[in-house]
Order: sequence, then C-alpha cells, then structure tokens
Amino acid sequence: MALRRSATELCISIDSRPEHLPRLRTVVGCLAADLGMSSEEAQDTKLAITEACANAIRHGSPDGAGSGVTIKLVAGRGGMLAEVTDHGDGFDVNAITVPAPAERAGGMGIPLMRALSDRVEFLRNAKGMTVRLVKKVKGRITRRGVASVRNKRQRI
Amino acid sequence: MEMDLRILVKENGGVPVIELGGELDAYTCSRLRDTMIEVIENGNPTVIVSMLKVEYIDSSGLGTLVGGLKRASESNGRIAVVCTSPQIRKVFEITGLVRVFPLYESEQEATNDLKTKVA
Repeated sequence: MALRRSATELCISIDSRPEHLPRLRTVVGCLAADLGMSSEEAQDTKLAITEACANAIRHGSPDGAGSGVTIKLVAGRGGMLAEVTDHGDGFDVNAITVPAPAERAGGMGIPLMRALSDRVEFLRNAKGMTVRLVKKVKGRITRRGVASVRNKRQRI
Repeated sequence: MEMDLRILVKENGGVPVIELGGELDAYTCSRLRDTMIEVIENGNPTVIVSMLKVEYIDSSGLGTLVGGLKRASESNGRIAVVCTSPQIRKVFEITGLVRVFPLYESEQEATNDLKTKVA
C-alpha cells in the first residue's frame, strides 16, 4: 500500500496489560473515522490490530506487564498500517496449527488478522517480533474524512 | 477507564440466559468465564448466551465461549448463542465457530429450539 508522506502517524507504547486494549481500539476507531472507512472496515481494523496486541501481550512479553508493547499506526489516504512490536522470542507463523472448531479455546487470533486485513506480515528482529497489518480503505473517502486527516496532520 | 462488559443472568422459559453487553475481549472475558462456570455448576448445563447488546468480541471472548461449551458438554449440556450483529456473526464465521455454536436471532427462538431438542 502506498501511504502518502503526509499521513498521520502515531506511536503508542503500552505496558503488557490487556486493559489497554479498549483504549487502543478507541484510537484506531478515531483514525478509521478520519480516513472515511466504512463501519465494517473500521470494526475489522480494530479487531485485527487488537488481536495482534493481545498476542503480543500474551505471548511476547517475557517479563510480564513490564515488557511493553509498541504500536505504530499510520493512517493515509490509502488506508491504515499498523506495526505491533513485542519483546518475545517470536514464532514461526507457518508452524502454527489451528485447532478443530470445537477445540478452539485459542489459536484464532492469526486467522482473524488474516481474514480482516488486506496484508499481514510477521517479522522477527533482534528485539522481538513485529506484526505488520495493512487495511485499505475500499469505500469512498468522503471530503470530510480527507479533510479531517489533513487537519490532524497540521496539528501534529 | 472503565472496562465495559455488562453481565446479567436471567431466565427464559426455564433456561438460564447470560445476557452480555458491551465489549468482550482479552481483559473482560474472565468475568464471562466465571459466570458460565457458576451457572453450569449450579446444575444448569444448557445455557443461552445472549449477545444482542455486545458491540465487540475478539478471539479471547470466543475462546471463553468454547471453554464454557466444553464444561457444559461434560454435563450433557449445550451453549446457544443469540446474536444479530452482522459484524459479530462474521467473527463466528471466520473462525468456523458457526459450526460449533447454533446462532439464534432471539432468546425465545433459542429457548424453543433447546426445549424441542431436549424433548
């Protein structure tokens, strides 16, 4: 996805606690509204990013709450990009097996991310794991939406 | 910031109903788990979970429902889910859980079906 250089970019650091997830969804929802995403696109984006963060908190936080998770959000006219970085050992996404439906007490996060995003990448680095998600705006971007993004950029 | 999951336990035609409202996610799902355990262990293994007022559910919330179903099944019970939100139904479809949980449009429809199957 080609995001404009003038995109809104936010970098959020949280400690590894799930009570931060609703706050994160609120921020993502505001950016989605600014982009003119449809309600369905906004909900999809919130859920996909929340799943990435919940995984980072649950599996990528070796020191518990103090490990911390960083979320970078870039909202441009093409859509939204999110990078969720943790401090875990990472995992081989190809080695993950999805349990049978009746046994699915877990293992549903990555399938949801993939189904609800236009692109998902799992990147291992020296510090931990980064999940990069892209959600394009497929609906028509309203003038208000575009204008709102521009106004926010000027404030930042 | 207040975590927004509302839980009300009630009854419809003799079947216990756990009515949820708000957001069911990694933080709030433990409250649903505790409620399901309490209802099932009180001798009500067949339960309706009403999600008509749920605005958001993630994989942790779904996993909690699966855990509740496992516990209910041990006592020959079932979990019926009431849900009309297209977004939430979509999450059940993506994860394949539409094949695990019967989804109903109303609590009454769920109650009628559960009673028919018991009879």
